[in-house]
Amino acid sequence: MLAVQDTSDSSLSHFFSGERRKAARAVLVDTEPKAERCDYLEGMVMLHSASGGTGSGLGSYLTELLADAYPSAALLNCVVCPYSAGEVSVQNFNLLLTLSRLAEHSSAVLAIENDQAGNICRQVLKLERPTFRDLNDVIATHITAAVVPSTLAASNAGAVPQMPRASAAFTSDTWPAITKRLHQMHVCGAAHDLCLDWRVTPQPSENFNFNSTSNFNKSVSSLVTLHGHDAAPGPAAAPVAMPGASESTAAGFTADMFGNADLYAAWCQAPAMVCTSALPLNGFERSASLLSNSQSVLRVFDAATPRAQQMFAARAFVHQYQQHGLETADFEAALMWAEQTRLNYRGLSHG
Amino acid sequence: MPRELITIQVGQCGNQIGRCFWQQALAEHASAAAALGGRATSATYDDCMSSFFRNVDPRSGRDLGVGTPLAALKARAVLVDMEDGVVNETLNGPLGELFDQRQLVTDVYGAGNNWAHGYAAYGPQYGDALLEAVRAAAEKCESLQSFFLMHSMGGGTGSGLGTYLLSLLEDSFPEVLRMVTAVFPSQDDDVVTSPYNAVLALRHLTDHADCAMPVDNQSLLSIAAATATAAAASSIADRGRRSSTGALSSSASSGPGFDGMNSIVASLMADVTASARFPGSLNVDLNEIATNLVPFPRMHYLVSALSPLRVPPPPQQMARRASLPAPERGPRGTMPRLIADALSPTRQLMRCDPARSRFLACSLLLRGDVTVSEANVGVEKLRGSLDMVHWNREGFKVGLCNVPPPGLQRSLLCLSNNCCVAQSFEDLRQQFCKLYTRRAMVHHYTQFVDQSVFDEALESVTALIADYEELNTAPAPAHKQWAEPAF
Repeated sequence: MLAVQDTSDSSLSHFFSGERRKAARAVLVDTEPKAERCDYLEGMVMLHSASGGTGSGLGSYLTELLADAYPSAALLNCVVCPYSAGEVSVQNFNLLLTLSRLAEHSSAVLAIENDQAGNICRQVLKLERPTFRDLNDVIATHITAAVVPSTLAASNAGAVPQMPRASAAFTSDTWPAITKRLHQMHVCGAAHDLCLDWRVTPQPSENFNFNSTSNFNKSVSSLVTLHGHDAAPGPAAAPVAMPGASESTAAGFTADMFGNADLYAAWCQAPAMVCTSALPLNGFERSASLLSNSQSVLRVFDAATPRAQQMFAARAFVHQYQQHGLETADFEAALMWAEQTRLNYRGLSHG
Repeated sequence: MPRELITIQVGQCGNQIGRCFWQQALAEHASAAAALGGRATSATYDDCMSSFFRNVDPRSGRDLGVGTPLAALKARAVLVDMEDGVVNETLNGPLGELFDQRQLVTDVYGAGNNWAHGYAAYGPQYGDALLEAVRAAAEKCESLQSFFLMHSMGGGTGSGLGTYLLSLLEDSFPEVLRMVTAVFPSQDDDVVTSPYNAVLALRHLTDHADCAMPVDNQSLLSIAAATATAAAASSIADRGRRSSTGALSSSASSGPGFDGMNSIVASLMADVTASARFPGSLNVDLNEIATNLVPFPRMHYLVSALSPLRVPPPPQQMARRASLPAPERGPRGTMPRLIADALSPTRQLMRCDPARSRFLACSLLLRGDVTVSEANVGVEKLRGSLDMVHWNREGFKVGLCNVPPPGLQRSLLCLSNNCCVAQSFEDLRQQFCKLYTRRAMVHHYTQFVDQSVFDEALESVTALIADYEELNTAPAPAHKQWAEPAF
């Protein structure tokens, strides 16, 4: 696993500026020997933001280069989405331009919401004034839970954004207690297990009423990982297949619980995967994490898309992108893509 | 790594502000170094200093790198005046060592309050010399980020040569940001031709600057007066427990002079660049200010407000003041208070009232002991109360810099791209028209330029006002019901 980290300062999106191209190529040159030292390069993880200039602009460009240079390696982009309340005036432009590029070139996108990370800090960790350090800790925990080694092949989700549900970290609870809450988080699309709405229940697709105000979160597929010394039936972590596995193991009933077909879009075949790992994570005796490609990513799109559309309609700030070679067609393409993606995710609910 | 800024001060006003600015910059870096503790850092040329200063070996004249002991600090500045009085005063004053001959472009005659003289006569005459001086300064930078031009709009040299220089910079350094602090004449300006000069210069400011922070003398004067009153009040309050009130009361008794006004502008510039110079948890460099606050290239006028009031100590007290402990946090220092002050019309450096007009974007640059969440809470409150343009309702840019201005625990600079600035331009336009309908004084200008520049400038300012007015009054499109998240 190779991590490409982007830590330089941020400024405006310089997708095509020559200087940035040079920087990106330098990273590529830097990556080569590291990749060559790997016996089998399974994938690369990129950490970057989607609101600033360097993270979003250079990050997307670099993704294209890496995808090109290592076509067989899975490329996971962990993208930090800005506070919906606003950090940067042009954040919605940057976000949608970035995501639309990543959708084309990345294997999977882990959309990390600053809003949710902040909620976790305040509501779960009870931090009154969370600092960047706290937010970064929360985010790092989530990413770790998502990419921590398991024996399953890389979950190559194709070119659709993926959403970290939450790495639910519980104390000395029993497996059923942990997975039950994680399951409800999955159902609600919640990022943490406090204030869960237990009234929300999975809805079968055909009965879904367009006008219903259900908060049910439909998924495409999910990966549940159980971390803990007694999680694995054998000494090695092993993928456990779909329902039917023995009820007695933790992985078994987890697979049953998450195997409920109502959780997923009607066309999904075998959408749930359960992995186990004997190594406890983050110092908890037992913990479970969930990675799910689901409608909860709409939170990001619903916040950003209309705002970006309005700003683009006023042609505000567009000149700054044009200075660097972007054209209005690029904006139109990104906005169209965002609108289409919203529709696609909405459509999961309907048969 | 901090990126360098080159300050260019043009004309009498620009140079007077510049002098205050350099005093303040030195004091800031001295107190920042002192705050790091009594280590050797106070005598080391560090990253933060490198954005404004060079460290020069006095014997070889070569630049020394970051981390070397302080030898001789030189300002990254170009001083331009066509009447060398103020520049000479600076050179012979305590700041003289900061500058050397290559950084100066001077003449002795002056532009006689005539924009055209500065722009069309001195411009071409000194163009090469100016570029040479700027180039010399730019060559000593590793990664030049921005030019910081300070000049007045009402006079001849500052407005004429200043705007000429602006287009020179645009041609020769197209990649480098051009920030401008422009001092606008007040209503009762003593220069008869100041409306002409300001409107003629404004056109070039609109076309060639990336960001302009307009300030006007009247506002500066009233803020300086308020500062002096506050200083007097605090010195009376402090007299019981602190002995070093002499500095404060003396500045209060002398009343608000040019120095008081200039130091406000100097504070503005220090705060704008603070994030580029000092570390912070949410750095906002000048590029980001331009990105976030300028939705349309011509509409780059940022109204600024400082809170709390900065009580300017006289220069000889600077060093002592820097070592004073920061005052305890009073009610004035709380976030809501800071923000409320920064939006009050009495604190705007340009005579206008942003809270009553529409914002295109707004930036809160905080310095000192402020956390992200405090800032976010402050922004959250603002969001409900301000009229933000519908396509940029979230257009708040927050900056957090760890190092407060000397003598304060926390401070706020509010920069707003607000439609209210159009009113000031409209006042200026009317004064211009009052003269121009009679073609009064125009013959002074036609010696140097064609009369058509008057019409073009008038057209430009009228269009600018119309642009702002249109955005100010345009209703948001009928609220379209966006589908609520369905999951």
